[in-house]
Amino acid sequence: MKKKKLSTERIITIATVVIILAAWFLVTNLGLVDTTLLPTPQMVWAAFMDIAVNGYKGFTFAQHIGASMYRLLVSFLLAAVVAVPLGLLSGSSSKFRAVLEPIIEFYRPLPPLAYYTLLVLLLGIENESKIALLFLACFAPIYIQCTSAVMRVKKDYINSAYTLGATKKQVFTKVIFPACLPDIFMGLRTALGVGYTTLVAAEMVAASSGLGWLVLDASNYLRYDIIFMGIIVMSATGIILNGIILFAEKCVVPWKGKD
Amino acid sequence: MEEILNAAPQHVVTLENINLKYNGERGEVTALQNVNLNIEKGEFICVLGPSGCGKSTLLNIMAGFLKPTEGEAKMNGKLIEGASWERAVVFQTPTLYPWLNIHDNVAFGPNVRHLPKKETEELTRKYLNLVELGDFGDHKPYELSGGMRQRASLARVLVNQPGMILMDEPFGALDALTRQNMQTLIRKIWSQTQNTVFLITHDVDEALALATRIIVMSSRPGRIVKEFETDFTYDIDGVNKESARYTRKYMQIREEILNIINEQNETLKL
Repeated sequence: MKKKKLSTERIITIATVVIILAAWFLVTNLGLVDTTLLPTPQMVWAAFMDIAVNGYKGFTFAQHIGASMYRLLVSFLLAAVVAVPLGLLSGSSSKFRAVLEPIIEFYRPLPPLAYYTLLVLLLGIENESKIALLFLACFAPIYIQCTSAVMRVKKDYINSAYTLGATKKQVFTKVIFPACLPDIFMGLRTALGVGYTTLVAAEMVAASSGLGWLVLDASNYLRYDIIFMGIIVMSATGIILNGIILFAEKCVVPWKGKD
Repeated sequence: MEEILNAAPQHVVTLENINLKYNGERGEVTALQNVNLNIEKGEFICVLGPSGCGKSTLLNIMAGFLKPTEGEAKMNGKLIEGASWERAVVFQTPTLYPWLNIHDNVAFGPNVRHLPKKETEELTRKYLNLVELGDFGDHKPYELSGGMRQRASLARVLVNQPGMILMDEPFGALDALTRQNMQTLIRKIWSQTQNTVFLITHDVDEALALATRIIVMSSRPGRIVKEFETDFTYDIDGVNKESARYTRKYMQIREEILNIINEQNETLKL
């Protein structure tokens, strides 16, 4: 029963996408809109094939995507490795939280590009400043999610561990950490989304490679076909990255929503 | 001299002049007043009382989750300071960890206490079988029914072989039939393992069916108003079974307890 319902929704999703693509195809091919502003799907596909084969402005397409992914994944992983333990510690100790909270509350509401200029001055225009920027952008959502997750762990979970003989350290590693895993994954997904948005913005401001730069550069030459192609590739990459985390979550946290 | 004799070591848990006060929204609240209780080894104590009478507070003090404002709570002569595996707690809703299967949940205690692997395995298997979950070791908690989960929680505390088992309305969330089965099971385990049990319930019949001693508490301030020594649990365990519930003595005690509780409810309404 449940499976059947799921597949109905799948069909609706697929139908929606097909209808949008078909509308795009018809509107552009029937000449209802100016194809210099809204290119036909064929033109976008041709741009994709062209860049996939010949590259764009000195870099292959894979190099552009790779440059973006390198910046994103390095900073995302760094942020995860640092923010998860700090967030969990903050949730367990109010004193620790008192140290970190003002710092994070200060920079969190700022749009990342506001302090990007500062990072560029400090670390140069190359990857270092971008990685630092993305690191900061990814850090906050992971940290905040982890902190609140610890504070929401069921009191009875912790109390029963103590009455079963666990030490404080064991309670942290064997109860609090696994109990927080669903929230940790939620934080990671949010962070990846925020990081990706920030990445594209940063590449549009200062870069000579990457997907964000490619789209910005194409817009300088009014190459709408390339802009569209770049945006679609960005979106597809985002969906794939999100899917990877979702898949990892399913493997690591099979109990999510069941306790 | 007599006092020394009275504090004989067969008392597993002793509570002396326990008072617990806390600052509520409308000033100081006395949750427990002058509670004195000696629990002997092998006793099955059931606590009854209206909601808000401090039964759970009392259990939390014995477990070591709370410190009394005044008075002393001791186990085997030693002051209770913080939780310990020697005083196991079964919560109303099972607190099995969903990231562990049933076997690993039960083995949690011996594992964190670093018991030898072989011993842990033997104990885990023994107590899983005792609660009739021998075939469910590799299931996850969320794959089991409420009654099975509560049985697993029971195995999880029994496996530590604690000196005292504290239970806070452990069958409160179960349906009537499952409840009956759980009572039978817990009686069987108690008579086999000679455990000392302190069980909070709001069901007079449950208390009468299980206890060797029933403690009735009153609310505001929470204190012990009456104690009953009962032995129906042996009758129900024996040949008489159901008929033990319809003896004159059973009815009398039942009525007396209900009168005490109802009286309090009426004074509260006034």
